[in-house]
Amino acid sequence: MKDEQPRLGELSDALARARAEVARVIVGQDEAIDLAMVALVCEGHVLFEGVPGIGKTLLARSLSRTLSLGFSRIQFTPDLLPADVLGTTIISQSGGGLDLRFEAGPVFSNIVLADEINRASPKTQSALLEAMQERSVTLRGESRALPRPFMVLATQNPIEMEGTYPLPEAQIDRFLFKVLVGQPNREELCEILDRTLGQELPEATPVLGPTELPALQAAARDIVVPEVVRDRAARAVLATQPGRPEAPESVRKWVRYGAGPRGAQALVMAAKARALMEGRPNAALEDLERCLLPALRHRVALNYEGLSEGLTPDRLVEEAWASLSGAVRR
Amino acid sequence: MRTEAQRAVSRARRSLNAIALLSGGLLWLAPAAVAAGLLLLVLEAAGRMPPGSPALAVWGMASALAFCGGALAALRRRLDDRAAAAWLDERLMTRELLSAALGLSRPGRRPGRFDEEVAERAEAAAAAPAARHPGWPFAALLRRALPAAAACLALPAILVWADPSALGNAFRAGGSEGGGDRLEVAAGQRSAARQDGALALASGADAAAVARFLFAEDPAGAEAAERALREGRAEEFRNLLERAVRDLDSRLSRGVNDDERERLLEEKRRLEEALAAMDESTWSGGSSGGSSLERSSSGSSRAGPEGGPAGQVSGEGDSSADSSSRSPPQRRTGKGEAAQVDGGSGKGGSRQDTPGDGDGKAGKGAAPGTGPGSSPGGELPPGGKDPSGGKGPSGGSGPGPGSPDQAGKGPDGEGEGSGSGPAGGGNRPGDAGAASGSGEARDRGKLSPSASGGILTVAPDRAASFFDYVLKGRDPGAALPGLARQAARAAEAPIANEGLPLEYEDFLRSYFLALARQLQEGAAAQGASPATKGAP
Repeated sequence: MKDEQPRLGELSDALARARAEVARVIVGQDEAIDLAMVALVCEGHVLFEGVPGIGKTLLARSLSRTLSLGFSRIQFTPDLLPADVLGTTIISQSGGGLDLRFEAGPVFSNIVLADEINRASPKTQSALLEAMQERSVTLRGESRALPRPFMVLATQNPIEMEGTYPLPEAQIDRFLFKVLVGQPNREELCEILDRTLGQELPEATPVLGPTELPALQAAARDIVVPEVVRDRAARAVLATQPGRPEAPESVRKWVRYGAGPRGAQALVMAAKARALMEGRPNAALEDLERCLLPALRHRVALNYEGLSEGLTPDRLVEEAWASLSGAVRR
Repeated sequence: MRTEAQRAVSRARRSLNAIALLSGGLLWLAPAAVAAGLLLLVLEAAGRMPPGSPALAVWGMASALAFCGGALAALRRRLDDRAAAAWLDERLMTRELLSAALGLSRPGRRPGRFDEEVAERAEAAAAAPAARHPGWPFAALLRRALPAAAACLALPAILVWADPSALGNAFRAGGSEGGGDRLEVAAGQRSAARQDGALALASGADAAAVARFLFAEDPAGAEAAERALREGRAEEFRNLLERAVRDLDSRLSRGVNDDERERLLEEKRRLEEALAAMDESTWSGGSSGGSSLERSSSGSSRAGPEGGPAGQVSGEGDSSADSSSRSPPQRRTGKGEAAQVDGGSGKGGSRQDTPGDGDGKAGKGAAPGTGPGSSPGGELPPGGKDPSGGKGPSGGSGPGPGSPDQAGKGPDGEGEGSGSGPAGGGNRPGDAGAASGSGEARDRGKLSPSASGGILTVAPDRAASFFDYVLKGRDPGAALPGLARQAARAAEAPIANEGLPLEYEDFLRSYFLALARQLQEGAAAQGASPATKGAP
């Protein structure tokens, strides 16, 4: 066990290197990069929400390149079919006869960028359900495993809602994080101009080998979670549920339903991954706090009154968290 | 074997629980102290507090109970190691490292890859100096202690200020309403006072003045008495009084000149009055209010325990009447003004209506005894010797008709006096008698016990001067009926002005009614005796 400590340091160093490499390409968006790295360590899926042109696709591509992972991009449109995502069986001529051959879709990749996922029909969106949760695809009764690691980075545009299909709750719950990607500030914008309008475009280079990410993911699962952190995560999730005694008044009033077990899993796993990134052998309350909104905001649905009041899930999740602070920290 | 991290966590838990215990007690103490104090004040204002109730002790008990309740409530919410570790992590900013280390020893937990890493880091964090002094939350404790301390300081002061008896002691010495020195015996606590010797001073009382008053000739005794009063030692106070009386007796027996003798007698009388007052607390009044008792050397009304009919004895001596008595119901008369009033020529200036060991020397009467009254129950000890063996102070002779009170010459014949009894008051022991007289024996600084509302008050007899309204400065040759009417009218003024204590108002009215009635009876019988000149 004595050799574990340097290994922890090495793992955190490797993650730091990967993060720095991505940040070399992406200007700003530090939180988005951090959360993407955390999701990668957790082998979770991320839903990026932001206006077009702020580097979502570039972030996904840079991640895959940095980690030496396969990458595929699917542009979701209303006429996209499930087979366009998952793949299809085609009749091909092999040798002297015809043969049915499975042509894998773009989902068969390590990192899948589902661009503007809310523009596809629910039928197509649901084609990703099994892939995201089970890491496998079943076609014609045959289940096919997806390559590991498998990660879906989806994007959606918050402003052009016409002709879109909001993600069903069952699917949105499968995303580890929902990350709000904001517009760059002035300095970041200038940096973007400098970097992208020259002769050479910055491009990420592989930092980690294909075998290193699974090791990182395994190490993250071994991070020690103190009882106080585990309990706080559980109570935070319960506090987002309007029927619970832990829920604050605002949650009871304006929330239709709150986060479930997947939310608690996401919260604690993200805390573990974050602790690993920082080289700590244990998760902390601070890790929970930093991952709270990305992990829970898409799992909390407001009721009509909450929507009409112009409230956001972020505010209610924060209030739920704040209602617990005094209870644990005496 | 306990690790350093576990020791640090245990230390934090113990300290936090102690602070929480204290804080919980204080949290309950402040409102409970205020509520109990206000409740007691309201009860006091409404007169619902039993006399002599130790309000301060009740308040203290309630506050202590509240503190214990708060502490118990805090005890039920005491922190465990997990919470203490979380607190310590927050204070030391160790990012839940100690909590994680504590969880490593949780039973049933599977060993993990980073357990050793966690344990090593936690040991290092716990060994840091900051872990020994993480900054205990005394600020919260102080926030709760300040209101509690304010309540604990203010409420007792308010309680004692509102009612000095809140101290709850049986005896207290203090200023009377008239500003004089006074001793109060809470009737409800007399027996307890005798048992535990509780003796205390009322708030604002001047124990030194009381002690100096009683031990005017004995500075050491005054000092000891003052100390006994302040410290509530009734028995010691009583012993001091008794010892002083014995000392005075021995000095008197050694033979002294007249002035010195008079002074010593006066001092002895004060002491005996005080002793008698303490004795009377055993029989006069109760919590429901006892009989009213007023004694005065100047002659005053007294309702004895047997409540006999009111009577009047007046006499004039040659200023040498003196007496001493040990028994509480006693009365002395000195050179009375009554003889001048009624113009009586009877001899004998004083009498003692209760058994006593007093010795009296009757003065020489100046006026012939007059008095139409007949005393059905009057009895004088033959030979001036009362049953207790003292020298009988009586012995006046008077030609007045048929009243033993006015018997012209006392059996002992030692002195002449004039006695006139317009009303033949019984002189049985304990009979109520109304005696009037003023002179040298009238002493306004004399202790006079009275029981009212369950409180026995022993105070210098400021009220003894109420007879001034009646008889003072009158023409001794004036006719009694006119004088009585005039006096009755004069007495109405202080009654109307509420210048007299309530019990005196009733007494004065009944006195003048009885006087008028007897004057009428005397007028009916007038003409039979030449000695009734100027009398009805």
